[in-house]
Amino acid sequence: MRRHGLFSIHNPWKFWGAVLVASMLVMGIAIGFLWLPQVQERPVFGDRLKKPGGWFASFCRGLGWTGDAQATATAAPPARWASDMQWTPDTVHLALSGDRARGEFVALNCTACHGEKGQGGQQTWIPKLARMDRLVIYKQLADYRSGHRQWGVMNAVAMALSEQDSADVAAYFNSQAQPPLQLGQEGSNPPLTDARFKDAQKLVYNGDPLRHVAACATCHGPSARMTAAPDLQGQHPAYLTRQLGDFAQGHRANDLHLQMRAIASQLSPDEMNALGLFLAQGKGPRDAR
Amino acid sequence: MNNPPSPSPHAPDDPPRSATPGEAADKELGIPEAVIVREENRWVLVVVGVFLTILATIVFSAVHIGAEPPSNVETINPVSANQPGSEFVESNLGSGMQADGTVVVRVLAQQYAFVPSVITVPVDTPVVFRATSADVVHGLLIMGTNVNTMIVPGYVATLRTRFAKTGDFLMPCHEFCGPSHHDMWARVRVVPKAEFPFDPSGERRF
Amino acid sequence: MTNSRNFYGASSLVLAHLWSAFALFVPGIALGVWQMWVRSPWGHFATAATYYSSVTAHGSFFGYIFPTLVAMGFGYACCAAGLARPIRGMAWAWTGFWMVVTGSVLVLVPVLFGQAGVLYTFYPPLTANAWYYGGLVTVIIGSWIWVAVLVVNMVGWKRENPGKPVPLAMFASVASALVWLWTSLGVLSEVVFYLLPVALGWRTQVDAGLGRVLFSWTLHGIVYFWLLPAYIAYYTLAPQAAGSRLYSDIMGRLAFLLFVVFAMPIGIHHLFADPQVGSGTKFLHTVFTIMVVVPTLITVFSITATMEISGRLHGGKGVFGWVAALPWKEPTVLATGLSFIMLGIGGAGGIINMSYGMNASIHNTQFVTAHFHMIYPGAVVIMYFVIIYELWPKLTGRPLWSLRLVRTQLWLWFIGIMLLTIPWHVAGLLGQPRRMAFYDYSDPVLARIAPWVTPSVIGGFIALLSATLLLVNMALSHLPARDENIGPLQFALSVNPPSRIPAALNGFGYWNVLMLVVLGVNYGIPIAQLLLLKNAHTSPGYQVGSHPEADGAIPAVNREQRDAQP
Repeated sequence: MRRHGLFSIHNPWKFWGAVLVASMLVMGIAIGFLWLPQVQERPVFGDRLKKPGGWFASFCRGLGWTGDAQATATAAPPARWASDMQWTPDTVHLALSGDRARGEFVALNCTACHGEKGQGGQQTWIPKLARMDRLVIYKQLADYRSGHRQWGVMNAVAMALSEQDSADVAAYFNSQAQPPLQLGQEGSNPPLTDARFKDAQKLVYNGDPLRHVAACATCHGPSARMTAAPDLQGQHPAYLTRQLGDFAQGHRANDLHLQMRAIASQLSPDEMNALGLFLAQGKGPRDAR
Repeated sequence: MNNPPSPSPHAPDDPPRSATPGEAADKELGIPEAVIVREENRWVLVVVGVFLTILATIVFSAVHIGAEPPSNVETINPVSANQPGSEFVESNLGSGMQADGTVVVRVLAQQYAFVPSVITVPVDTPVVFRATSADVVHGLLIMGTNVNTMIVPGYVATLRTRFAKTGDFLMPCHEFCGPSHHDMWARVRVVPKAEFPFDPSGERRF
Repeated sequence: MTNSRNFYGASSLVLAHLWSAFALFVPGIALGVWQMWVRSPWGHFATAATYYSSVTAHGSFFGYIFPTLVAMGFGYACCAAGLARPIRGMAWAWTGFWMVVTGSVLVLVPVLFGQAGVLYTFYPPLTANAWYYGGLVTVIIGSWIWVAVLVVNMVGWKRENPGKPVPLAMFASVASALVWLWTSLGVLSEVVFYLLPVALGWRTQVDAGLGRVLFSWTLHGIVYFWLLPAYIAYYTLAPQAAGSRLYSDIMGRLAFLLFVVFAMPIGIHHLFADPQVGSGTKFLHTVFTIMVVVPTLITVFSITATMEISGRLHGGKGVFGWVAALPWKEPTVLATGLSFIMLGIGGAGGIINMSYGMNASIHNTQFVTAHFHMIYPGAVVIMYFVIIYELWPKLTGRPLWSLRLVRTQLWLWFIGIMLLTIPWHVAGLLGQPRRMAFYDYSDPVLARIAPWVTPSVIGGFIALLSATLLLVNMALSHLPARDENIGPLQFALSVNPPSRIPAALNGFGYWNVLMLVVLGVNYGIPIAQLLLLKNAHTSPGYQVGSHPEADGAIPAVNREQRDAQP
């Protein structure tokens, strides 16, 4: 056998191997790219689907260039969207490049309601800002500015700030010390019983799949982070409960892809209340491992 | 298979071996190479038959019952998929009827929910699913049906189907998309045609 | 400790590979069983991040580390014993071994710390800790040294023995090495060009579609890489143990050559439901996927014929009478029989998975997981056990501790895997999606699936028991007194051993070229198409795992900006 050499045409194994592979390639391309696209999805869809005219069109369809997008272009309702924010690398870069010292100056506008150094004021429906993620503050200010989030004075405040100001003030609050946890039963009515505590714990760590409620911990950290999802631990419970209620009723609708509206609309008022308390007690997403 | 001229059994340069269990096989059976080659050739015919049967079944079911994977390579920017001008802007998601009576369902998948989370479609009507992802890879599967597609960020998945019976179906995300993947379930409600009003403007979404 | 005579000085090398492969075997299976239990109706929920870390550890170990070490160890054994001479390049072989071990540690540590919960199939734009990817690259490069050592030894032997057939065991081991070489290129390019740069913060954007195509390149070939040691055991160890001879040497070679050509350029059948690949490409891959039933059917024929010879020698009569007459007390014969049963059932399921259209009914359901657990832990790993039990006495120079214990272990494994996978298939057919940490069985649809999940978990526990018994057998078999009658490892001869064979069936050069042609067409089309669409559709990476620096919401995309901060 050696006398023919490996690459000799007289080597039957080599010859028939090549024939086998070549015929499979030809058959695969002929059926897959030329024939099947001609009949694709027509048995299910009847004559609603245009037959690709010609072999070239057929080949393109086999590659996946079908022109189906035009086929489904319909009249659309007036556009409504949650936020103008697009997390492109440039935007992320801007939002993270704030100047802390300048931010302290900008923050003079904030302390009256959000407390000294963002540690929280008297009103429990106003959030603490200290330690809050920069992207969160940046995005919320942008949404107040564009009107996608509405809250009286905040829209006016945000409109006075530039994008750079927002990044600066975000950097300032982010660099502040973690506010102390509130371990009391602040605003708790009814009180957080063991059963309610367990329910809240389940929602925070596990979620509730068939109500499409994702576990809080998987976006609000630390087992994973969603871009611009705030850390919830130690926040005012009344603020958290109120935001859940607002999401549920659509008063607040600046969550980029309806995540929070979809979740909150599935929660009972009692669950919202328990979640607010659970998170405020410091037994929040940060404990999840 | 095209066997070359087979070497004679027990060629002279076959090194002598100590008694192996195989020795017994030689003595008792002594199967000539010609018999082995004949049996193998018959088996190869069976194998070729198996190959062609599987291939024919696949082609037949593709042509006659439409059992084919989707084919529509269409790109989209995942970061701006929810912005005005995009087909997947919030107000345009869900089911809408086209002038030809086809229902188009637009779904945006994201960590960790489908939007909309309840999809309503009429029974026995051509339905086109168009789905994309705002962040990572997802998938959708309508349990009890053959509606099954990956949803890859940057691409629009298109899938055509027709629901044969009314009822509620579960629609889980079937591809790992992060630590709350197991929470990502939606529902599909297949309703009688009468409950899915025809809308000549094509602007209503369900 | 070892018997160096039997492997021409390679006993320690082989033993090192096999012991390190099996060192984490029991914990690895325990993770799998824990996952089954946690997501079953009577499991307690652990945090989902723990579950997915566990899946990642289980998959990374059994997908990349364990089979690679087994294939390497067995490959060296086949090289030394098959060519009947010392291995050339022992220093390189040890270097490869330590690279694989180091890489394995680098892979597993980030997973244990919850920094790599991306599963072993990665799913970009999800991004794991860079060490995880770096470890994987180290494992792959280490295993390439093994590929090189085997190829060099085979080429050298052929040069010194012109015209002589390369012994089947060596030939098949080189086939397995080549399958791995070409296969691992896909995952390596995905990791090196896309995932590592994002994990390190050098790049921000990743094309998830292209990443999936590159991974699919590896995803099917790797399955055959897992399989091939089992096939080598069918051809070279089973006939001997049955007191028979291999029916045909040529058909064996042909089967391995077909694996080299067809095992790899078929991976798009994992992407039938993907939107970034057209249906023409999907069909082309379907045609080539059907082709891989051919080497398997050839193997089934050859080994069945081999066993029939044995059965008739043992006095079996009639069409099926020889089956009962087989020496079932011989662990290798028993394992081969059990393996064939699982291969048959699993193979039938596989035909559904790879069917162009039928795939839609089971894609990404538990059916798929059930299928590859039937094939890999079932049909394949039981043959890994055979490799251990056949090699151990030769490596240690001591007899096995107890054949009865060996048989018990094999039966327990078979029962465990069957009980694990058969109900699991049904759960998949009922539509249960895979890769979920938790199912709410209170829903009526999922409640119908619950009764199928429970027996599956019991099967898992039985397999875990069997795995523990295996390790006990391995350890105890180091204890008996040395037996000087234990000769070197002998591979099965065929009924008519070929003195000369066609050059084309005695080397791989031509078949590599043929495979690369198929690869060029089958993967050239989708990769070129996606590269042409470049930049239209990339997405930012999403880092998984916690950020101990508590710096807030930092997706992978911002690493460098954050670090650039004052």
